[in-house]
Amino acid sequence: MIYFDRVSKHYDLRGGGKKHVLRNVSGIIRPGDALGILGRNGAGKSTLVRMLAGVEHPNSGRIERRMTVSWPLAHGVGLQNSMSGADNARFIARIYNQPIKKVLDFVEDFAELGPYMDMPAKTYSVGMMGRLLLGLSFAVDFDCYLIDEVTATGDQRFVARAQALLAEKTRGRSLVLVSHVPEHLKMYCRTAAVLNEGSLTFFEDVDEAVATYKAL
Amino acid sequence: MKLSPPIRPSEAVSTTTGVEAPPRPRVQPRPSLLARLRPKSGMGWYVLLVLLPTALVGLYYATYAADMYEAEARILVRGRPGANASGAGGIASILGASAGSLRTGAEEAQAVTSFIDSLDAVNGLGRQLDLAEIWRRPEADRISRLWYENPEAERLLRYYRRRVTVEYDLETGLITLKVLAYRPEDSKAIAEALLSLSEELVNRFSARTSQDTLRVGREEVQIAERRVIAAREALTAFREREQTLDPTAAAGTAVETIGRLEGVLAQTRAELQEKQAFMRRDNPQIQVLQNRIAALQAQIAVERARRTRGEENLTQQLSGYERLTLEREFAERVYASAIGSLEAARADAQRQQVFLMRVVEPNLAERATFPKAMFNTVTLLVALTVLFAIGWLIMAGAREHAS
Amino acid sequence: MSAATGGSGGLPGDLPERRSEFYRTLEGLRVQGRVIHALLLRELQTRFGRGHLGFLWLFLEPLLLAGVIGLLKSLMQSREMGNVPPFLFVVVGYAPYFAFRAIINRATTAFQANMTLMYHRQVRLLDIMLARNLLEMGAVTCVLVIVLAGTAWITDFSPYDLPTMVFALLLMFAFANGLGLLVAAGAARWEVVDRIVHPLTYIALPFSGALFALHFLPARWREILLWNPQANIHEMLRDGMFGDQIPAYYDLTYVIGWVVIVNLLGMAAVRAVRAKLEF
Repeated sequence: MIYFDRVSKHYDLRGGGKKHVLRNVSGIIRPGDALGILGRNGAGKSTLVRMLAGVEHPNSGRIERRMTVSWPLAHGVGLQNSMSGADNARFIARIYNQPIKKVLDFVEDFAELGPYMDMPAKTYSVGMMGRLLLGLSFAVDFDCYLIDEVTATGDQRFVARAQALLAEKTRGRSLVLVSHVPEHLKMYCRTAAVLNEGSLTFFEDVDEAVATYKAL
Repeated sequence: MKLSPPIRPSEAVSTTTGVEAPPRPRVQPRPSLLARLRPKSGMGWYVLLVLLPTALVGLYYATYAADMYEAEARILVRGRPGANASGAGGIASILGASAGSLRTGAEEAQAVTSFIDSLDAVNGLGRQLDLAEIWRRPEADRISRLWYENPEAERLLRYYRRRVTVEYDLETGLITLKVLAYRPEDSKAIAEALLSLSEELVNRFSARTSQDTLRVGREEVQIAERRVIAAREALTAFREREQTLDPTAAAGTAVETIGRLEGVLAQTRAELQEKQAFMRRDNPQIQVLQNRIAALQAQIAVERARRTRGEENLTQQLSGYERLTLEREFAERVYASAIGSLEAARADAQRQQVFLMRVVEPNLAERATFPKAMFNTVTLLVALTVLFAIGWLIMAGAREHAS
Repeated sequence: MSAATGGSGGLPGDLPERRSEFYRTLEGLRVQGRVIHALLLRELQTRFGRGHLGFLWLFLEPLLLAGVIGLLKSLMQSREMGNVPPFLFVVVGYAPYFAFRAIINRATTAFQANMTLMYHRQVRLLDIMLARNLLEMGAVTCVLVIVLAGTAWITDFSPYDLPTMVFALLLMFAFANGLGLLVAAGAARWEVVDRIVHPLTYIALPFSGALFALHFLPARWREILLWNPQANIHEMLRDGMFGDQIPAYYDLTYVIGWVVIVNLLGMAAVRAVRAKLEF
């Protein structure tokens, strides 16, 4: 369960002034929820996800995590470019207290990097990077996965595999997917919310949320 | 305040998970005393770990702590100027100043400083004063006083170091001695005793250095002296043995005797020849001369025999005698130079003398200036706060890893 | 089915009981240890690659530097070292300074280079710094152990008072750590810090007392240098190494005070700068 209560976040702008990204946002994400958050670019979706993941702190309000939460899965984040995929996997395994062998095997199997597994990550293509990242994040069992537009990459076959894996991994667990593409939400999510002008509006029905989002 | 509506778990999930149990009544067991006393917040911990100890210490100082009186003395350990000055090399010389360690008497001053801080000083004091009694006076409080009635040397030393501080200032060369006790006269007595112990120490140093420098000189003189005496004795023994004051002179006399006899012989022979020219052979005068010649020849033979027989003896005598006189002269010269070096060493030792100067005599305190209640309490507060802050940062940092 | 109630601002009634503060601190420490271990290994890899020679270079770099300076000094036979082997004198002085300088210099880029790690919640800025600093400390400790063991074996010269030496080394590390935290936080906040720190570490060398004993300085200069906690620490190190052969001048309380304050400020600064970092 992630519980956030009256969370506000703003950034200081150069030359004074503040940009408010979130204003007094509250909510609960329970085990089993599959929540999609829609918002335009720059609406503060990534900030919200990062705060849910606990890597960024709100200016006011509080966020409590009572389950294991993944790091914000976005393109290329959390990886060290100069290290190989295997070394990245070992590092993730160590800090998330997972058996190294299990993580390595899973990533090798899922990401299909082949010999690239031992090459520095900076030599990877965008697709390889996405596969590695997804493989890494699903190699660790979290109660809640936070995904920031990650499903947009990869070829058809990989997308299908990723969907299957995502469905399998998030069964009985939670998923928070942040996107500006309504179709992705319809694919994975059961409830949805729209982030606009610093406030978050929840909808029981994804279609309703998409309609509201499109009307903005 | 407007709140966004809470999200609802979807029907599908709640049926699959199906664990929406009614809120279970919280059974609150009565917490133990320890648990109830345990602080609930950071502020509580601060009160418990910082403010409470500070308050206790402050209370101790305010109500219970016994007054202490300080006696202070300053001394200077000095040598005569000009001694022991060797140039400093390296960085010191580049910086163009002489290092502190080269100041005259600096080493002795440091020795005095470490002596006052040592078990030797405590033992020395113990022979003059009853330290345990002084630091367990009835007016002393139970916390700050010496805890043991008959403390072991090490315990006493530890307490002593808290009450007696000594500092050596490299700049001025001054040694500052501070003594704390529960009565002004006690601290003064201790300071006085320490000063006199230090004086003894410095005097011992001086005596020791002069002894060291003089010892070699004295030994040299003694050796030379013995040599002179031995040489003279050998000469005397020689004279007694040989029954002669001066064998050179004795040898001269023997040669002279033979010479004279030979002279007389030659004269007598000439006289004989002259008489034979005009006298008959049987003239009794000639007979007389011939007899005299024979007698002279015999005498010369005797003298010669005596000389040649004793010749070896005499040469030996002569060379032995000369060696003995030479040895005597040499020994006397060595003796004179040894005396000279001894004098020089004496002058040197004089220059190396260090002495202790009392710049400030131990005073009799009129007001109790210790313990420094305010200073100590505030220092404790600051130190505990800093430590608490560090501990809090570490603990809070660690806790963030678990969220 | 229960609807969640988030309105009152308090925790909803059916939130799982939060584990005790004590337990979380303990668990946090365990996680922190794991993270620092992982970061240490990662730091080794990114800095030296996976080759074994790279790993060796970590020790060889300070060892070679100290060794070369030590040999030069042995040839020059300067007086600031007293009667101790110049090589040892330089290694004991320079190796810890090397660690100090490396920690401070590398602190300026510590956060920028590792921003991507910030996406993992359990990796805190302090862990990154600690891992890096531990690596430097470990390397220099190894160098010292190698040199001291070597000389003890070859020349029969062993440290006079090992505990004092170890304690001094720990103080040096702690001091460098605190200062490194401050520098890292400062560099993340103001770009100037990055630019002035490097020259400063060079300028600071003569005042650090790393390469000469304070005993051979005039008393006045010594007093001035002793304001520098680093000079105190180097004196203490030499005291532990050479004992009575070179008189040492240091104030332990003063050093500990500095170490504590610098670490406190450093940790606080790192915490404060956390929110300002953008990634």
